[in-house]
Amino acid sequence: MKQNNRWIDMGLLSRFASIGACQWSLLRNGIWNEIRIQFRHGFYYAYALVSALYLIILQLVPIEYRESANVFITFTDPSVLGFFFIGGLIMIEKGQHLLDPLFMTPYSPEYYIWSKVLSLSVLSVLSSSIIHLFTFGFTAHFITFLCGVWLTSIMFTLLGVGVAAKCTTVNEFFSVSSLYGAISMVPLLGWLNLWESPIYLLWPTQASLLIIQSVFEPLHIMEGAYAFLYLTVASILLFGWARHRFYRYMISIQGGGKRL
Amino acid sequence: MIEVHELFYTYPGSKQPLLQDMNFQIGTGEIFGLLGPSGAGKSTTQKVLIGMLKDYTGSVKVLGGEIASSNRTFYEKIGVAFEFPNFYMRLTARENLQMFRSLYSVPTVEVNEALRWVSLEDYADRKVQDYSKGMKMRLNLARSLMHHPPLLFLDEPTSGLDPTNAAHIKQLMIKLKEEGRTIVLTTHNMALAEQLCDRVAFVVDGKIRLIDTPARLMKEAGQTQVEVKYAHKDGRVEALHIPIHELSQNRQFHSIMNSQELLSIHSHEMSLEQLFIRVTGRALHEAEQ
Repeated sequence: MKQNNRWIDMGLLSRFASIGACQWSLLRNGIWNEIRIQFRHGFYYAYALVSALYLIILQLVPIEYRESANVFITFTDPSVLGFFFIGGLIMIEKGQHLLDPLFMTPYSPEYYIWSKVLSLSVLSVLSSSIIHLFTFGFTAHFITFLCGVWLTSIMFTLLGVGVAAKCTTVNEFFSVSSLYGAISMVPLLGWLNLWESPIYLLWPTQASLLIIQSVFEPLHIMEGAYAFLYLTVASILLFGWARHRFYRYMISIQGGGKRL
Repeated sequence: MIEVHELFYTYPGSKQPLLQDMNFQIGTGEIFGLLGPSGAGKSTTQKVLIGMLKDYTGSVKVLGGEIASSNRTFYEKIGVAFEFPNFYMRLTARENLQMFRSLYSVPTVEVNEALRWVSLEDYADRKVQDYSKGMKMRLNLARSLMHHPPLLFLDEPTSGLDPTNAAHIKQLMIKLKEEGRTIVLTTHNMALAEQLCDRVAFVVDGKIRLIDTPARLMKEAGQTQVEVKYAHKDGRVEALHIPIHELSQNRQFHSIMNSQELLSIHSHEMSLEQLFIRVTGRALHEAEQ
């Protein structure tokens, strides 16, 4: 009965795929529960305020820079909000020992992770939509833009789950996450024309930037394929990593580390 | 309902097994008490039984299947109330129960009904952060019962409750037993175990020292003693202790009856707690973690 620490295997892929096929109601209820908790913690009020603030800022930015400012704001805030919020949420639930009763129900750690990730992506999409729609209206590639925000949010929140799983305090999470955050933001150097290099294509966040920017500069089909495929693959791999860390550092603390 | 055979469990990083050679069975409709001081291994035993610790050796069959190979549907059939009642503090009791209820696919009871079971219906819309420890304990029990599980694991269910609410919870447990539910009660409250359990297991240092019904244990543990208090003619008061079955033949007792002033006669039965100390050499409240 050895613990299985491989984080990418056929069992994992089948579980990942099976989330779409079975027990949608459990996932739907999990997402709804998470949204309710996030609402109660004031996340929605906070982002209503933040979005309003960005709207004002965008109105103050000269019109020739407004599109770039929208891409920059969307990429650096609403798209990554889950990365930071997930740390707070997991730390609170860890501190209150809520995982014990939660996992004494059919709710598995996989559902727990996806409920958090998808619920926070709702907030990302809402905030990004408000900022974009109130500034530019419904543009031709708005849906592609939202898909970019959604996939980026999923990727960053999964990264946050993996980081938070090992941390014991909110302060520890923020100090560790700032390192992960800084590394993931490297492609901004190229986007801001500070240092050009094709190496940014290795960063999944380069794909995020391409898709988010496509609302103003439509992507070539190959660029689009690269960006969407890379973000999807990165999210699958990050789910495996986050899940592995979750079992290793959170479930093993409660139980013996054996997957349920 | 539960069959445990040669169970050993060692925590990761530990050299010594915490649970050693445990063997017991629990039948359907039984209230089974796992008794022992803190740190004895009763909570670890419960964690193995509820599938939290799967790296054990031996065999642990719960609801007909080996617990190490159980899947998430197992949790549709068991209810667990941990010793520490943890909830989403910023949500109300109603919202908390609604949330947990939404995680089951089996039929569940209405939230109001669950709150009524534990007399919290008047506090349904109060945030859990404003609940007392006793109220949280009752809410904890309600949460474990919402999906009508045939098997319940209750860890110190009356901890922090006032006598009235403790009595109410005991009545609820008796009702659950009458409905045919099986209850595994983990406690160091011997009085509770004595009142509720069909059988109890004494757990000390990771081993089961004894399993039997509380009544038989007490009967086998020793005779009931009778304390006879009497006054001499000069006013001195003395007490005589006689085993109850020797009372009718005891000459000293007859002499006291005839020639001394009898003050009182009391019988002293050995409590489960005293029996526990006698069998294990350990007090129940020692080694608190």
